[in-house]
Amino acid sequence: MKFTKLACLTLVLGTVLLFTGVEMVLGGENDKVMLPRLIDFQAATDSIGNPLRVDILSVEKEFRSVSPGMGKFYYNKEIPMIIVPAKGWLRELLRVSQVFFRQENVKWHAESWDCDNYSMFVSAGVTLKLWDAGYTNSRCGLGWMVVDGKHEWAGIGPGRHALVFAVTSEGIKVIEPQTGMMTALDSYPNKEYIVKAVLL
Amino acid sequence: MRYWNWAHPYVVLLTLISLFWGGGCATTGNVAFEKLPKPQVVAENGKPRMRSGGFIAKDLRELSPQLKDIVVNDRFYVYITLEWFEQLRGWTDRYIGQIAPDLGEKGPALPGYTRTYSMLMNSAANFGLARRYSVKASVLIGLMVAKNNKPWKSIPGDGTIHDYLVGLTESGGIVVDLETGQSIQFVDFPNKDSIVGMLF
Repeated sequence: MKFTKLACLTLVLGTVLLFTGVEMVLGGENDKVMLPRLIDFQAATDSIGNPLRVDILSVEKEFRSVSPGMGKFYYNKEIPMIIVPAKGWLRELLRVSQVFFRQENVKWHAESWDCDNYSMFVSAGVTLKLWDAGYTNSRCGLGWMVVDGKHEWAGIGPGRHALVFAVTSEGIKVIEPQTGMMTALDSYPNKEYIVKAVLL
Repeated sequence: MRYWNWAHPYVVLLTLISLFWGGGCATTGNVAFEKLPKPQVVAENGKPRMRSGGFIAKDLRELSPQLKDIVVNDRFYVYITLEWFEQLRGWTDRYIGQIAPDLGEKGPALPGYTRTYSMLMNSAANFGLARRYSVKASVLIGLMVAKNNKPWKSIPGDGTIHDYLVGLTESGGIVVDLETGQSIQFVDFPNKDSIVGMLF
């Protein structure tokens, strides 16, 4: 009897507090939705502490060195030099993206919300953070690419697939935006089958 | 109150657990955003009206024979109402305003603005569609790059390369210039015979 009353009161209290929190997260009022906050953009730095920039053509060259049959590399000719994101910031971006996808129950949905949408969303979000940091005439070294995959990687089987790539101080990294998994372009098992890359 | 003792270790423990449980949800470093507008897909015989990406590319090439560079990411696209298209534009404007508040009115003039905007609006539309409907098709919102050989309202025909936002709505393709805010049906777009590329 004593335990039952205690358990009931605790359950009520816990439920009230839990739902107060959840409502704030999911936005039950004021027609708002709550998304995880991403820390301000941080660029990798060169030897004298300036933001590290790389020539967009060197990015294309790196792609073509591992994937000679790659189709078109789409980039913005108005922005010949791109800014390299700091490694820590990139990790934070992937962490926050995963929190968002989990929190909003974002799941793969054929055609309407699939790999290209995940990739575009992350890519566009990064550019906004870059602009917010004051780099309004530049572009972050983070884009997306399409592969005609022959090997399974990051839980995604063979077939046509879109992924994110990041230009880092250690070369290009390939990122599976649905899981946050990352590897060097050199180690990516489908590197030879890149169809196109987009860094607009 | 015979059985209730706030000082009882179990009560203290359970209360603390409840507080941390609820409080933890409320303080995860989130930021509030306006909810996405409710999707409005055009229906035809009780089903969403859609067209294959291949046929859309063919239509575009017929209207603009010089257009070679079309990147089509999905197999099928739904027609959406013009009202939803405009609501999505409003949401995207406000989202950008919240993430990068310092951009202000100069935003649309930034290099790459329309490109990022189109990716973001595309993501928002398809995210909204996938959350609410089970339709194996995507919303066509994307980027068009054209050479301004002919004037269009306040945009001079000076031969410069210009980015436009495009969408597929109930009345066909729509072209929007984000810098001026002016829009036009694709078939009436004065520079449709000098389009350089499209991505959606």
